[in-house]
Amino acid sequence: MPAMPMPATAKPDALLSIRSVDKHFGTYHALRDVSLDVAHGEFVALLGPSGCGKTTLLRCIAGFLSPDSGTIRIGGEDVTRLPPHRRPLNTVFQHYALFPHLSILDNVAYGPRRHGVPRGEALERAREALELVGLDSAAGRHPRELSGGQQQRVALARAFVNRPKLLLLDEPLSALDLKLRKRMQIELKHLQEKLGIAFVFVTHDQEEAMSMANRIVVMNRGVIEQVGDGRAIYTRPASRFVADFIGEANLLPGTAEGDAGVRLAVGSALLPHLGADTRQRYTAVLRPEHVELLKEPEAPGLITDQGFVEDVIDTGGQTVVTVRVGEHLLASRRLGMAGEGLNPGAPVFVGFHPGHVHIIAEPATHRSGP
Amino acid sequence: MTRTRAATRTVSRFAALSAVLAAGVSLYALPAAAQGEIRVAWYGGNWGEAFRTCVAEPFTKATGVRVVPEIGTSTVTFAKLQQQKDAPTLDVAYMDGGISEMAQAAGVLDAIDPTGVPNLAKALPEAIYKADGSIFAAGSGYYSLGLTYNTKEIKTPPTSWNDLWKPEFADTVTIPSPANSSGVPFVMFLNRMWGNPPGDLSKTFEKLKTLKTALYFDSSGAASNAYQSGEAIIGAHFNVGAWDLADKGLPIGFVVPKEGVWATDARLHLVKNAPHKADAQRFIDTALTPEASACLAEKLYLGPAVQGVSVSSDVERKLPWGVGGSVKNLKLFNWADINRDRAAITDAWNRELARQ
Amino acid sequence: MSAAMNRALPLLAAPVAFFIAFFAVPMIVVVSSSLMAGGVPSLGNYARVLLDQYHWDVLAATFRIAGLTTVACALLGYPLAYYLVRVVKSAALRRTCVILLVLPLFTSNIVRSFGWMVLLGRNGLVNDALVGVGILDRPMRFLGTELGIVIGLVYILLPFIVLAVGNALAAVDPALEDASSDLGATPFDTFRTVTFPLCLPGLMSGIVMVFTLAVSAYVTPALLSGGKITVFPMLIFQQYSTVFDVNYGGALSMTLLVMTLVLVGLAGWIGNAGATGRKAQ
Repeated sequence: MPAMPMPATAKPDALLSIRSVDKHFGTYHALRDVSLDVAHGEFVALLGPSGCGKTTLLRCIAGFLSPDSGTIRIGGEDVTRLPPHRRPLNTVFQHYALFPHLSILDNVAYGPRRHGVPRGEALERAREALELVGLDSAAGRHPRELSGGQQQRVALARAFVNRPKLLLLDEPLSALDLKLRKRMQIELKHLQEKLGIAFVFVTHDQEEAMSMANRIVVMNRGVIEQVGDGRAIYTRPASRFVADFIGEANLLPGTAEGDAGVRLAVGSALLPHLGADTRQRYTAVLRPEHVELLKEPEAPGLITDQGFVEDVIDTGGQTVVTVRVGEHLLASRRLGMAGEGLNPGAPVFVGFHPGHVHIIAEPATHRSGP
Repeated sequence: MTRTRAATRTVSRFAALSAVLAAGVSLYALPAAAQGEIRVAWYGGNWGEAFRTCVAEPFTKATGVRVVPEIGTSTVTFAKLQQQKDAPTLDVAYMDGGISEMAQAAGVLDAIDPTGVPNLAKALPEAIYKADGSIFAAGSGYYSLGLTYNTKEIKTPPTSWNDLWKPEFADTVTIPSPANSSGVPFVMFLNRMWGNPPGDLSKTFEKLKTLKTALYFDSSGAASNAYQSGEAIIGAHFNVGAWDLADKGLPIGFVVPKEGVWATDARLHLVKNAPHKADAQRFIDTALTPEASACLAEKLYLGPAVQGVSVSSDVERKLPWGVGGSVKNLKLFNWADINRDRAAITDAWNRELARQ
Repeated sequence: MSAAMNRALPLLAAPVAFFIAFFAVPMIVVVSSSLMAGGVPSLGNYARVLLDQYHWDVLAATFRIAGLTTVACALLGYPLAYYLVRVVKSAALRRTCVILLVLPLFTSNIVRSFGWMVLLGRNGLVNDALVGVGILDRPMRFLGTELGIVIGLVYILLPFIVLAVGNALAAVDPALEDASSDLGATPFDTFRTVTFPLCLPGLMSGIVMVFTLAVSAYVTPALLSGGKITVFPMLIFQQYSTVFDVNYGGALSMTLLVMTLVLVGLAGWIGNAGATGRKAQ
């Protein structure tokens, strides 16, 4: 059951439209009723921990895997049962999968040649594509002679040289070191904008997803937990899992009091929540940067409570102070050296703005979350 | 400097280890040799088994000397003798006629002294081989290359080698190739049979070219296999191999045609500078007893090369000379002649017959 | 020189000694004997071999049989290897197939060739089947034909090519084939332009192995030729085993060795030239 309801029929303008896709590997349920639309020129990230089904979904879109049920449409055409070579898309593989027996130029010209483009023209297009990724000088070399970052760019050029409407990228940056990865993220984003191709980008790195994608699809255990832009996912996570997986979160239990709202375990505050139901469990999500440490027990506009310092981690640029409030732990992240004078065991007041609390109703069957 | 010394030490340790190992090996080897044993080279398969049962076991029983067999064909044994020329480990060697003469010429054989081997007196005169007045080999039993046929396919037994050319036998005939020890002598045998001049085999090859064969066999096993599978239904085969097939219940007959059969023998040789000469002589003496000969005749149908051997009538008809025959019926060629022409006959065979 | 290297040297001595004792020395013995005739150094043996059309005919037959065997092994072995590596999904089944394939290698060559003599004989299973099914009117002759020898050699040498190609195929990254198909290549195009070129080195090493083994085979041709076809190893064997002319035999051996090396080298050179010429398919 997806956390976010999807329309039953495809949006007419959707480039990629996935409907109710299910996939099993033996007894392992890899994809459960997955539906997703991707618009023309959109940059969508499939984000989730390893084993969440994001790569399986990508391989279903590319045609390397066949879903057990459900449909996949590209540009309105049902491609669910089409072999990969007949699908109007291209893929950048995790470890690039460059053909080791062909030169860089021949690698990039491979796609056009397969589509019947005459050799001379194919090489011309390949050269243009290589130019676009700044590797035209390496055309005559072989993949093993290039660095990881260069191979990455060749893989990219090879994938977009066919001018597909849709490009799938399977953790394309995971094999690069941090610095190069950051640079490639920016390059990739610029390239995507320049080419106007829709990207479906698989990653397990939330920062990568946040910095590049228009929309993020968070997946867990074969299910799409939430679809939205980075901000929405961060500020209004749809499930405990999303709240926990994206950034850091204080997850506090809450109880419904009639339909008036949800009472928090910390600060004893009653927060208004539409449709609150006493039969349901609630979780309040509170980001550490929204938790303030106070000298006074009260502060205007804030919900406050008293606790004791559990732990202080000072990393120079910022400090994370963990405070025990009753039986709950609350993390507070402050800029600078905020930990001075706060020793474990010292009494402290915590406060947060009610507007920063996001309340999630737990589904009846407890499936997501840790 | 230190490194070099370390290396030297390692090397010398290595050498010391090798020396210890070598010493261990010789310590192990020495008492075994002192215990009383001789090394005898003989053939593999049922031949080796027969030599063990008929000669080696009675010898060990009588003398207490163990017999260590070294199994190999005559050619292999001859090669071993040449390698070991300076320090032989073999004492006695069984080798076929032909190789026997080569070994004599190569000087790897010792003279067999009748005083050391009293049973030589019982041997047939044909079975004592002399060179320069001394005995270099003693026959241990004859075998012949006779006419062999499938009794189910051929109701009337053939009587002549010329029967092989009969049209009804086209493509079902087998004869030995020069790769077999009987191949070259068989060509010479046919040459003589047809009365062609000894030095000129061209007419014989002309005639052989008209023989429609199923195959030319290079080993006795290949011949047996061909008769067994029905690939060949008539041709040449050794009496030993043919009767072996018949004994297994296969419809195989063996006859000595009117022209006779070419034959040769397995011979005993005393190795020059044999480490256990006295025991070796006693072994040869044991092999020349009528009992040993009778045993070999029963097991391999080898024609006895000593006098006074009596065998059952069933064994008697399977001997190389056939029913009622004797060594006189065998065409025993001078191997020196055969060896002299061997290369030329092999070459001519290759060019004339062994190509499609 | 490092201390580690010093320690390694005596260890290296063993393989070097092994190589000298079992490869170099026999080779030197053969070469030096081939250069002697009548007890004096001479090139006469080589003249006798090379100036005689007969030897060239036998050499041609030998290479023809080995070539056909190699082609047949490649044509049968490649799909078989592909099937074992790519189609058979169960590891246990694959292991069983490989064992079945390799098992004959553990039995004597002679036994196997005798087996073929029985199978390929006039009254053998193959002829019985062909006549029974109605493909042939009367038994066909296999023994004593080049076809018979090729059949026997293919049976014996097939595992070599299957193992060589199988290893190469297993080493091809499946992602490369995915990439090819993703770029629009049909399965056949993917095979032609990616899979096949990538396991070509494996196929080539299998081909070289099979060809050299087929050229030097003695037992199988000797038995299945029925003595009616002569291949070079049979000539060599004759000289060493029955004629005892090691000088002439040595010259024959060296001739076969050099000719085989030339042929294999030539094939490698052509293969390389072909590989360099292949661009952007």
